[in-house]
Amino acid sequence: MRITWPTSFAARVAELQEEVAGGDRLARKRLAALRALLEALRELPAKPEQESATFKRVRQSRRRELWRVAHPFDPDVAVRIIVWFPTDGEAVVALFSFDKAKLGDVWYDRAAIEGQALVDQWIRQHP
Amino acid sequence: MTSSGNDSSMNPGRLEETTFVDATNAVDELLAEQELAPESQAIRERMREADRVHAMTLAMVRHAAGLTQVELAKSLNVSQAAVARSEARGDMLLSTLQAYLEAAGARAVLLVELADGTVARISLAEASAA
Repeated sequence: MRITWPTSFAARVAELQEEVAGGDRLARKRLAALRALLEALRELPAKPEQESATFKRVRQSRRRELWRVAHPFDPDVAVRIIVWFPTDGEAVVALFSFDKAKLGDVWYDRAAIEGQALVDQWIRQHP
Repeated sequence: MTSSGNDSSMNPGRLEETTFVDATNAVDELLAEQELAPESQAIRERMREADRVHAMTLAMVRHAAGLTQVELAKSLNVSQAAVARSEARGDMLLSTLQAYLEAAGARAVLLVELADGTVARISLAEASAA
């Protein structure tokens, strides 16, 4: 699965890597989790046909079929990726979240709105 | 979801300025770095285990019992459509889950892994009655 993301995400990942290099323990756990999620996404042979613990549809997103990629519970970190699949071979990452405290229905409500708007933007750029 | 300070959410900023790039190579470079590989692989293994557990759906429990939706519905005194809805639902009351599993001949228990790694066994009947 090829992965597309907004240009700003590369810089944010680089910042996270710098935090890890600086000895930030929480950043290290976040980056390890992000790496695991991206690996799962990269290894997907095609758009998921059904939900799993790792890949679930964002039920608040009705206009676009958004999926969230998650890892099992960790007391310190909760990394999530919101993704959309334009084809079986491509994943468009719309949002990341590292903020454990803010994850919940309210976060997913906003993620659905922002994620759908970002998918619209991707479609405008890929007519 | 704006990224600022310690708020570690990442959105791409102003929507109208957002452009997308193929990040496949960047992701592959991240995956090729070995420093975080052991921690990341441990998380991947937990993800795979969670997926294996998730894969045992209610419908699979029913199939294992050799029952059709109609037969299970009869045991539950509900319609076949109600059983179908339960199987398609992402979440449900514990009491509904308990009734479904018991109708399928399964012992309804919850296995809960505590923070210290020990596993607790909880009767679903007791949990749903609480």
